[in-house]
Amino acid sequence: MSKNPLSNPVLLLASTLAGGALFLGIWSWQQWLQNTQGRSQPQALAATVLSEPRPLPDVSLVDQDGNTRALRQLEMGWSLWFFGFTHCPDICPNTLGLLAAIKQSMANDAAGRKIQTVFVSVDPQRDTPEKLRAYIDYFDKESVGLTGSREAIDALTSSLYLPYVIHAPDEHGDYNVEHSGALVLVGPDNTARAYFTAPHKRADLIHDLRLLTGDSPDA
Amino acid sequence: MILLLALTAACSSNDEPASCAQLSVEDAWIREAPPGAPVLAGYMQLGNPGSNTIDILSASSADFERIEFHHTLNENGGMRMQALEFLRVPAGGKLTLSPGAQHMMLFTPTRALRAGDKVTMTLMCANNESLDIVYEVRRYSAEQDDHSHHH
Repeated sequence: MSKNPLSNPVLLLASTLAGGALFLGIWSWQQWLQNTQGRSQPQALAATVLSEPRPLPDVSLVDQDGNTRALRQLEMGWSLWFFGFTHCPDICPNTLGLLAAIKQSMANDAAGRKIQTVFVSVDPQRDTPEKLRAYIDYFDKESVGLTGSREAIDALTSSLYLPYVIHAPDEHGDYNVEHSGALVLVGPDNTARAYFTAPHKRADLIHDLRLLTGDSPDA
Repeated sequence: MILLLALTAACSSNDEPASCAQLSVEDAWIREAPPGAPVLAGYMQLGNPGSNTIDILSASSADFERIEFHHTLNENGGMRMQALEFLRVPAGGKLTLSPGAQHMMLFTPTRALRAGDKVTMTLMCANNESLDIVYEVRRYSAEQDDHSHHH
């Protein structure tokens, strides 16, 4: 039992503080969502729709090919954004696999709408553009991977109220990253439109995405 | 909480040694990961037909640098990974490791693992017995999961 990482009081404290920070961040996100969601929120939606589209911050990130991408000048149509890191063997592959399946379903239906997947790594220290590309290509070769400076990542995550916490490294130099499980729907005008909170249900997502992306004048 | 669990584990394993070998293993698999992925996840279902709790303290494999047990927790939308000191298979019960829940975290694969490959892992139980389990590498799709997991 000597290997228990929680037996180190300093790590335990750090871990508790970090967990608390994430919890507080998510709590304030939920408060904010409650206050900002549209009054005309259709009851049948699993998504939380923002009453006013929220522009992405005026910062640039780096994509999986090493290109600088200004978030206000993206031209990718509708997109679903997920935040994670590649040292993430369970929830990130679950979500990226789900997004790939949803994209395929949406592309095959009558409207044939493409919903681009955007995976933002909040762990630029380990996730170089090359690693990001290998990771996202496995699920969907058309998806976009973004990462960048800590400042730019923080500008984006705080603007979207999606907190993350990077933990102190363990004795192997590995560290864990806590992140939101939420998906953000971003419109073709690079504004956040709606949130989906985990756990995600494929049928709900497809249902909502059809409605949310179907009646927009700029779609 | 963790400490309490650890204490009760120590007590229960003192009674009558529960044999690791009596565990039944079903659906042991490893999720095929993107090429070069530094960490993979393993899943399985263990059944304990005996009348004593069986605790698994560690796992090792020639195909990974090290293995930890983790639990993915969804806390109000925040995804958190909790390291587990051990896996517990209740007497007369089951322990299920599955995507989005408890899983084995497999660090630094020593070879590229593709769907269909087999990997042997050795589980060490509380009474110092070990159990070898063969895991199949599978390509996993969330779509399948949606349709197959109706509890």
